[in-house]
Amino acid sequence: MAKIIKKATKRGQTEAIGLLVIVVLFVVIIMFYLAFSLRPEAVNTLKENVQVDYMLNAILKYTPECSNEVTKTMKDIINSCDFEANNVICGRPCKDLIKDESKKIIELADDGKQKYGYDFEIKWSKNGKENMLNVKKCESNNKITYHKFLFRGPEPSLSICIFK
Amino acid sequence: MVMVIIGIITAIGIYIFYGEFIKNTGEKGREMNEQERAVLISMFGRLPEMQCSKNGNDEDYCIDTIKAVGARNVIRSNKAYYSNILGYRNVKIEAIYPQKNNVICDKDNYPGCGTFAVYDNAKPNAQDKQIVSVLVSLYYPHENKYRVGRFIIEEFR
Repeated sequence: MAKIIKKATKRGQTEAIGLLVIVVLFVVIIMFYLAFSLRPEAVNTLKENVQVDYMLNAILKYTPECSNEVTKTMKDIINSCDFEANNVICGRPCKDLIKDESKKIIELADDGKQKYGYDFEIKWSKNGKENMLNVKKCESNNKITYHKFLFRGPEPSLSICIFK
Repeated sequence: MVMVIIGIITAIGIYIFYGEFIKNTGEKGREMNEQERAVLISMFGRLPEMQCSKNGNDEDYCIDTIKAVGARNVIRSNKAYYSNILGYRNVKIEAIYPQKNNVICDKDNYPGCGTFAVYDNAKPNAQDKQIVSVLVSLYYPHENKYRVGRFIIEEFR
């Protein structure tokens, strides 16, 4: 009788250890799976940074066609625009000229894949008050902004929004 | 019985682990390729063979169109050197704003042209082609004007 009980106890112990091994294996597998699947997706922003650098340069260096005036780049136009008075540059109110030309250039970047949106704004301050001209806007939590500081005066900034 | 269950669970574990590992490696590979293309594009914007310069100062991310015409010939005559850096790729710049012009530029038709085919090295029988493009500022020194172009890199695999 004692021999039978001893044998049954030993068998029970072996089964318990087997069960424990199964549980440990399960836990290890679940931990591995969670470690892989919950890892935050790395956002590669190098490409977008280069894109924004090129694009802001393309906008600020662009020389609109002006028949009667000395050629000016968009950077010069932004610098000589009185955003309050909206003075005439290149035969047009400067704010309209800046808005239209930059919008047209930004729209050229649209490749139809709807992956990116662009946000272009120009900030300036007058009498200690901050003002802003919004040329184009995009809404996304995933935004990379690039500022271009001109020597003095207005500060244009271009952001790229990445839509997932 | 216990050994069989342990064996099955271990097999499932190995399957999940390698599945995720292969998926991760693929993603990393794609990411590295994208980064490589971004670095190439960035490098082109600062290549002395094509970079704008005004009053002795280099301007980043801007292509001097006269230099771009010359760069095509420089790259062609040193193809071994450039293909070592650029591999199986085509690199071209298209003038797109205010006017698009598809005529390929050479020293005889410049500035009445709009496409600068800087580097051509398409892979024969390529399985896959990836295209990356960015807007770029194009400088026309004879008019002292900047226009907008598109920088296009086609990569063959």
